[in-house]
Amino acid sequence: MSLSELGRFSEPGLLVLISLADGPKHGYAVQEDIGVLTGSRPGPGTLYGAIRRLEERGLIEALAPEDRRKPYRLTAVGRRTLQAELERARAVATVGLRRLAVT
Amino acid sequence: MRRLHAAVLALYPREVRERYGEEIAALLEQSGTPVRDLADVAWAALTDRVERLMTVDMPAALRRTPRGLTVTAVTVLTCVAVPLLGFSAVPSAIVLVGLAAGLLCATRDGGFRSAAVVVGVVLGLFTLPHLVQLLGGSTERVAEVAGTAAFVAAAAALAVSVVVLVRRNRRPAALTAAVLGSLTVPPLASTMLVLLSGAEPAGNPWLAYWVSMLPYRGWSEEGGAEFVGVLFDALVWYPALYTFCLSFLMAFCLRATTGRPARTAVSSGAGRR
Repeated sequence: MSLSELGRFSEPGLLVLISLADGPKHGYAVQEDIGVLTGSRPGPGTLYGAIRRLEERGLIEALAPEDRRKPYRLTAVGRRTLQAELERARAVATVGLRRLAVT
Repeated sequence: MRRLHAAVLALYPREVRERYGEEIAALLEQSGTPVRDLADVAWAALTDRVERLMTVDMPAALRRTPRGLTVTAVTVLTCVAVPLLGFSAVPSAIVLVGLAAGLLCATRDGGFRSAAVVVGVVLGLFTLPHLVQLLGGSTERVAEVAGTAAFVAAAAALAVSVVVLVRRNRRPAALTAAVLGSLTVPPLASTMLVLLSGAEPAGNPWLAYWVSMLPYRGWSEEGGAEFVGVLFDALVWYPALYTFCLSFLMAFCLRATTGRPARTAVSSGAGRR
């Protein structure tokens, strides 16, 4: 599947997948991680809008809750999807950077 | 603050709130930018609410239109269509074109885009000349423009309601809305037109549409003049518009609501939970 079907949650969804790529995290940790990664922390509505859509599509899954916090981790499908998205982004970035260098 | 958080979280659909509400509330409590985060949560909740409105799954029993309701709806609409086809002064071809357009536009999961195009074209064809007159300084046709705009807006609202209900698989409600709306919208628009025309109606303006549609009378100059002095002049084009739209709505709503349940809406909703 393509993350583009998440609509306005496609970019936050990609960032959530990236955040979970190195291991399970709960919502607050994902939020902080994305803040460090991009310089802009997603709001709780945006974050959980993305998490819900990723979970419904089987790209991430919830683990046993710890207090009020529920950690999430990538599924195998989520890992493959993230890899495909990043490779596509890299291909686009490569072409763009090459063209910038030419002009 | 907790009350405010609860109020904003209440905007979410119940299933989402039950599943993620506590986690979102925990993030709101730790937030360093509470106003921004509350606005973000409210916007996401409304997004979810609208999305759920269009794709929610329903129990199988509610996805099917009861046979009795379908038969009743077909009977009622046939009772309206037969006089329109056989006895009205409006050319029968208009009814047939309206029915065909409605059938073609409707799909089992809605087809609102096609319907919007048809309604939009009708709106343009019938109001553009009057709008040009209005822009030219003539106010003689204000009643027609307002009446037609109200009619088309009501027809569009009815089509949207039916499509939303169909997509939610609330077919009995959709069919009921379709039948009641199809029977109500043209009379309401006619009444508005009569009231806006500025003339003193000789009869009850709420009956303008049906009086003018009586079998064997149709929309005649005599019939119109009998009802209200300027009615025929004001309504000369409108029987055709209303009849087309009524035929279109009947066919569109009936086809949209009586087919088999839409697989996309059902499967997408079920598959995601």
